[in-house]
This record gives sequence, C-alpha cells and structure tokens, in this order.
Amino acid sequence: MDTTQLLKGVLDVAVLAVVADEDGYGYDVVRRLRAAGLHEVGDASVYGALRRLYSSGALTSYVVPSDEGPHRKYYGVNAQGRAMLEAQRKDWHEFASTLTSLLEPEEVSR
Amino acid sequence: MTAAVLLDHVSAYAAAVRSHLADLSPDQVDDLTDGLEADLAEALEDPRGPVATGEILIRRPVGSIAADAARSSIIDHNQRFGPAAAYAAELRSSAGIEPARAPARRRPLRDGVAGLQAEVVGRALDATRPRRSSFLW
Repeated sequence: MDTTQLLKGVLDVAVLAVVADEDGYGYDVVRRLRAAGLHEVGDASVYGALRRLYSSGALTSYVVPSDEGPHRKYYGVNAQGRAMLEAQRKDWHEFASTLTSLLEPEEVSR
Repeated sequence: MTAAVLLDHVSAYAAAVRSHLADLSPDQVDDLTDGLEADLAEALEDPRGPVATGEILIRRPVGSIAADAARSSIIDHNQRFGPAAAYAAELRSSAGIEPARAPARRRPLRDGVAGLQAEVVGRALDATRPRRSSFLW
C-alpha cells in the first residue's frame, strides 16, 4: 500500500494534533511526527502544511530570534484550529471504523 | 563558528529553493520560506534524520558531529533534501499553491489571429480546469 498517498490525506490533522500538544517550529514538528511513527513524512510537506493551516486561520505564528543562527518560526493552535482538529478527529474515527469493518467483515468477537 | 559554517551550506540551498518560487509574490515567498534556514540546519544536524521521500541521510563517520561534516565536502543537499526544484514544488503543493507555470511564450506577430485564438482558448481551458491542489488535499 502506498502509505505516502495515505499520509497526504491525513497530514493536516496529524500536524494539528502535534502543534495542539505543544507549539513547535518546522523541523520540530517533522521530528515529532516521525517519532510518533510517521517515518515517511517529508520535511517540505510539513512546512507547507503548517503555512497552509496558518493561512486558513487555524494556527498562530511567532518568530523566535536566535543568537547563534537564523530565527525560528513557531506555530501554535488557536480556537479555530482546535475546532478543526476536533472535527477532523471525528471524521477520522468514522472513516477508520468504516474501513475496518469493510476490511474485517467477519471479525469474531471473543 | 560551526553554526556559521553550517548556515553557509543551508543558505545556498534555501536560496536555490527560493529561486524556484520566483513566480510568486515576495510576500508569498517569505511566507513559505521564513525560518527555512533554521529548519534545514537542524535537519542536517539531526543524527536520526530519516530517509524519506527520496531524501538520503548525509554520510559521515560515526561519532563525528555535524560541524565536521559541514567543513568537509560530503554534504550534498541534493542528496539529503532532494533537488531544490523538487523541494520547492513539494513546499508549494502542500501549501496549496498552484505549481509553477512555464513563462508565457512570446508569440511572433506572424502567428497572427490563429495564435491569439489558440491562446484565448487555452486560457479559458486553464481557467475552468479543476484546481489540482484541492483535489489532492
């Protein structure tokens, strides 16, 4: 199965969940997604998703300067983002349970 | 010092990425790439930097630090991050921005009305084409 394609469909909700847990900057979000098991997530895909979620009003953003190098751009979730996360969480559970019953129609409960 | 060396490396790659976004407005480019240098530098320093979507972890001797790798010539950003054009395309597409279009072709006058008509029809088709980004995302 092409998990890269699957990942594209759920990247938004995954990014929202990570940032809702704690504010983060680009590569920090990438690392946390990978640590959670999404090993195939691409750096640039995550950065783009963060920008798009910010543009759509789901995230806040602020810059943190660094003495040693370039500044970091942090993202956090606002009320709209939390509502979006909650809605997508529901969508995901419904979708996952639908597909599970489709794939395992004869599952025997013990 | 070491951070500065690493920054030189990533700055060049970030500039190449920005050059592939040159058809966007300066504000859009800033919006897409603000903080990119810090992210690239950290990705290079991450010893667990995974291989994903064509990326290849930079090779360096076990136990060395990123700065040593930065001083040597073995950092190949194209290997670690893929070609800058592909990186820019991924950034653009996941941000929901249309792919870069080829620059408009200059039509010689001798193409005349036929050429103009073809262009108008082409633009009309483009305008009615479903947005690829909304389909994929």
